[in-house]
Amino acid sequence: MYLLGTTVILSGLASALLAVVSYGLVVRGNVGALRFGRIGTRGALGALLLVVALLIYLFMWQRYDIKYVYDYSSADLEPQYRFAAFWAGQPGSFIIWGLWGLVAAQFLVRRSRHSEPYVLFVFMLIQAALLGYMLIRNPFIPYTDASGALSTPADGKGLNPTLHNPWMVIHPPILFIGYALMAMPFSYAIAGLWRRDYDGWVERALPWALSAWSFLGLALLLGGYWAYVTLGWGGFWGWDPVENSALVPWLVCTALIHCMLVQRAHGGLRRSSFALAILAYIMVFYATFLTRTGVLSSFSVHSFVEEGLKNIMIASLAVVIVASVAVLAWRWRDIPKRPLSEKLLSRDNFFVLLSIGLLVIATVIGVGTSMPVISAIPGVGHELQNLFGSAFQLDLGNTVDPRAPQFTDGRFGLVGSFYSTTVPPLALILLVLLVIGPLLGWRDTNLRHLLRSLRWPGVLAVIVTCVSLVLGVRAPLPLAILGLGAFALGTNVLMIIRTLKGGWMRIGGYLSHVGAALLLAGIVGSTTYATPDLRLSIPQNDSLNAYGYNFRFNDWKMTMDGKGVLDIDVAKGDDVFHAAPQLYFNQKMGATMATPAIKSSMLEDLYVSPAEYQPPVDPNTAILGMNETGTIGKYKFTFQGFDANMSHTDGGADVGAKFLVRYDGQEAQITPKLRLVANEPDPAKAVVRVPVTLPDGREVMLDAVDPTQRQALVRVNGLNLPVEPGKAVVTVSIKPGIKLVWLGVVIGVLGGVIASVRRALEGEARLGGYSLRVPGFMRRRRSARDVPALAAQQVSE
Amino acid sequence: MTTAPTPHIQRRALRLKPLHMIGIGIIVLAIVLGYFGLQSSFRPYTTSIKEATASGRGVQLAGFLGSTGQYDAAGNFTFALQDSTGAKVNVIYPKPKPANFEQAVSIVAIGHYDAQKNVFMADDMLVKCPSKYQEQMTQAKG
Repeated sequence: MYLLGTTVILSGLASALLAVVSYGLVVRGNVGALRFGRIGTRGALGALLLVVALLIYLFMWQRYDIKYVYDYSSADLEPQYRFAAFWAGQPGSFIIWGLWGLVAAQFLVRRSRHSEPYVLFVFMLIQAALLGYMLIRNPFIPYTDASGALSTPADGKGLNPTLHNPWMVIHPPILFIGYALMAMPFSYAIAGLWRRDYDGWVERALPWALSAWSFLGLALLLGGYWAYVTLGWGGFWGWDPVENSALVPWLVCTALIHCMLVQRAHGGLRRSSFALAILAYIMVFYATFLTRTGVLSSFSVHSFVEEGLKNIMIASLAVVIVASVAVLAWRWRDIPKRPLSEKLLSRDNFFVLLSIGLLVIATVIGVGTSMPVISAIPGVGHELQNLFGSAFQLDLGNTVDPRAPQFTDGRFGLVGSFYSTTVPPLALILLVLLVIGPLLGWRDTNLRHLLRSLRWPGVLAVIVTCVSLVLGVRAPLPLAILGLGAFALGTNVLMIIRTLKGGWMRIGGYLSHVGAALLLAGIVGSTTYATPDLRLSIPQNDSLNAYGYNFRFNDWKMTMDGKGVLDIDVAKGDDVFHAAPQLYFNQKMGATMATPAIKSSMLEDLYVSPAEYQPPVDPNTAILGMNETGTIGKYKFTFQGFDANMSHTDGGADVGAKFLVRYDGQEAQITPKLRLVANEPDPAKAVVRVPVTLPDGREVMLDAVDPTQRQALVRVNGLNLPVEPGKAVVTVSIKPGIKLVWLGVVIGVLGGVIASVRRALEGEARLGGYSLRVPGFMRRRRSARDVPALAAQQVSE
Repeated sequence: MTTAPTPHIQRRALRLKPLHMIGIGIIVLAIVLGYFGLQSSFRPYTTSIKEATASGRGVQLAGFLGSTGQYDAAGNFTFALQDSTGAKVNVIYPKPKPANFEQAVSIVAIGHYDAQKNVFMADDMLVKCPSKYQEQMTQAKG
C-alpha cells in the first residue's frame, strides 16, 4: 500500500510538473505544448482523486497497518466519523487542500483563453508544492511498533471526541476550499503582471476572490460556532493565534475585492489590486506556517507540534514572497495609473478608505499574532523589550521596577486585551464608511440626494440608539457601534430595495454589508453585555438562583453512549430547561471532556459551562493510599499495606488490609478482609466483607481495594455521620444577541455567494463579447459596461 | 493615458486631499490604539519564577505543576507552580479549574506577581497536555 500510494502521489507530482513545464513552453511560443499542459492538469487531479479513493478505502476498511489510519481512527467510530477521520490529521488536510485546488484548476482549462498558460503555470506550481508536502507527510507510511518492525495493531488510537461533532467534520474541508481558492486571484495577478494585462485579470479573478472570501468566512463561522457549542470556552472568538491567522487573509481578501471593484469600474487602484491579491495569498501561506510549525507553542491554547515541515515551510514562504514581490516590482512602473475621483463623497474614495481601514486592522492583528515569532529571532526580542520598556511603562500600572533584570528569554506575547483595545474603534470607522459608502456614486454624489436617502436609515439609527440606552447600554463605543450598525443596516437595506429592480443578482455586496452590520451588533451584545461568568457550586438535589434562573442539580450520570453529564434543571418561572453539560474523563484519550449546555432563545443564550463534579463525601469512610492516614469520626486510620499472609479457605480467597487505628489515646492493629467466593452464582454474594471489631465495640469493614493504585476503602459501621452531598460546579452567563453573530455571518456569506455567481456570469458574458487582445481594450470595455448587467438580468429572469 | 505627464501627477500628489487626510488619520489612530494596546497586553515570556517575581510585571510564566490544585475560601483556584530550578510560587486563578489540569505537562500562567500577598495572580492559563489529540485540533482549525 505504501508503494502504491507513494507512486500515485509521485505521478500526481509529475503531472503537475508536466503542466508547469508545458505551460511554460506555451508562454515561450511553443503552442503544441498546450496539449501536454492540459493533460498534466487533468492528470494531477486524476492522481489526487486516486489518492483520496485509496485513503477512503484505508479508513473505511480500517487498515490499522497504515500509521495514519492507526493514529486517527478506531473500530468504535461511527461510519461518518470514520470517513471524516481522513482529514483529522495533517497529511489528510494537505490532501483536501490540494484536491480543491486541482478541482478549481479544471475550470481554467480551455475556458480562460489567452491567460490559460500563464495562470495555470503559476497555479500548478503551487499545486506541485502541495503535492510535495504530501510526499513529505506521506499518509501511506506503514505502522511500525516500538521496535521498528511492521505490524498490524488490532485497533486504532481513535478520533478526538471533540471532533465527534458535525460542525468539526465540515469545518476543515470548507476552510481548505477557501485556502485553495485564494490561490486563484494570486495566480491571475502574477499572470496579469507577466503578460502585462493589467485589467483583464481582475475580470476573471473577481469571482474567485469572492468565492474564496465566502468559503473562508463560512469556515471562520463554523470554527467559532464549534468552539462555542462544544469547547465551553464561553465564546466564539478568543483572539487565539489559530483564529487570528485565518482572519488576516480574510480581511485582506475583503480589501482586495473592494479594490478590484474600483478597478473594474474605472481602472483606478491597479497597483493596489495586484499588491493585495499577492498579499492575501502570502497571508494564507503565513497562517499555515504559524499553525503548522510549532513556532507558537508557548503562546496558544492549542498545542502546536513541530511536524518536520518547518524548514520547507519557511523556504516556501520565502520563495512565494520573494518571487511575487519581484514580479510586482518588475512591472510596477509599467502599470498605468488612473487618478481617483477628486470628490471625497464618491464611491471610489470610500472604497480606498475602507481598504485602508481593513488593512490597518489586518496589520494590527497580524503583527500582534506574530509577536512571539518576531521576538524569537535572536536579539530582536531583547531589543524590542528594551525599546518598549524605555518608550513607555509596560505594565498593568502599579508595580514596575525599572531596575529589574532583563528576562533571559527574549520572547513575548500579547494577550487578548491588545486586540480588544485596538480593533473595536477601527471597526467603528468601517461602520461609518458602511453607512454612507453604498449610497454614493462612483465619481461624485449629489449631497441633497444623499441626505434624502439617509433620512429613514437615520430614523432607524436614532430608534436603535434610544432603545439601547433604555436597555442600559451606556458606554460610548458599544452605543456607537449599535447605533451606526443600525444606520448601516438601514442604508444597505435601502440599496437592496433599489437594486432589486435591476435583478436579484446585484444585491450581493449590500447583503454582505447587512451581514457585517448585524455581526458587529451581535459581537457587542454577546461580549460587552454578556453577564460575567458566575461560578455556581450546586449541592446535589439542591438549587441555586442566578441571573433570574433557578439551577437544580439532580445527579451526575452516564448517558447511553458512555458520556458523563451533569443533570441540571434550569427553571425560569414555569419554563423548565433540562441542561445536561457533559463532563467526564475519557480513558482512551486520558483527558477530561467538557461540553457546555446552551439554552437558546431569540434574544439571548444562557450558557452553562461545566467546571467540576465533586462526588459525595461519606465521612463514615476513608480512601487511603499506602501509609496514608485518614480520620473517620474520632478514629485515625493508617493504611499499612495489604495482608500478604492470607488464609486460604475452601472455595474462596481472602484479601486483607492492615490498618493501625488510633483513638482516645489507644492504638489497635486490625486487618479487615474481603472474602472472594469462587463460583458463587449470585454476584451480590461473590464478595463477602469480613469486619473486625475494635476494642471499644465498633465494627470496621474493608469496603473495597484497588491493588493497582494500592488504595483501600475503609468504613466504620454505626457512626452514621451525615453524608456530604455531591456538588456540580458550573459557570453560567447570559449572552445577549449571540444569534446576530451567526445570522450576520450567514447573511454576509450568502451575499458573497450571490456576488461571485454574478461576477462569474458577467465575466463569461464579457469573454464572449470580444477578444482580450484587442488594443484599446479599456475604452471598449467601458462602453460595453451594460452588457454584463443585461446578462445578469436575463439570468435572474 | 499611460503616458500622463509626470509634472502634472506630482503637483496632484503634493496637494493633501481630504481622502489622504482621512486615510492618514485612520493609520495614526491605529498607531495610537496600538500604543495603548501594547501597554496593557505586553507579556514577556519566562520560565524562571525568580525573574517573574523580581520584575513584578505582567508575564507569561511557564512551569510545571508543583502541587495539587484546590479552591480557596473565595472560590479562586489555587495551586503551586514549579520551575525547572525547583523554585515554587503559589498561583491564584480567579476562574474554575482548567480542563485536564491534572494531566498538564506544562502550564503557562499569564499574570503578575503580587509581592504583598506573595502569590502569582493569574488572569489566564494555558494548560499543555501530552495528548496527541491537541495536535489534531490545531490542524483542524488552522
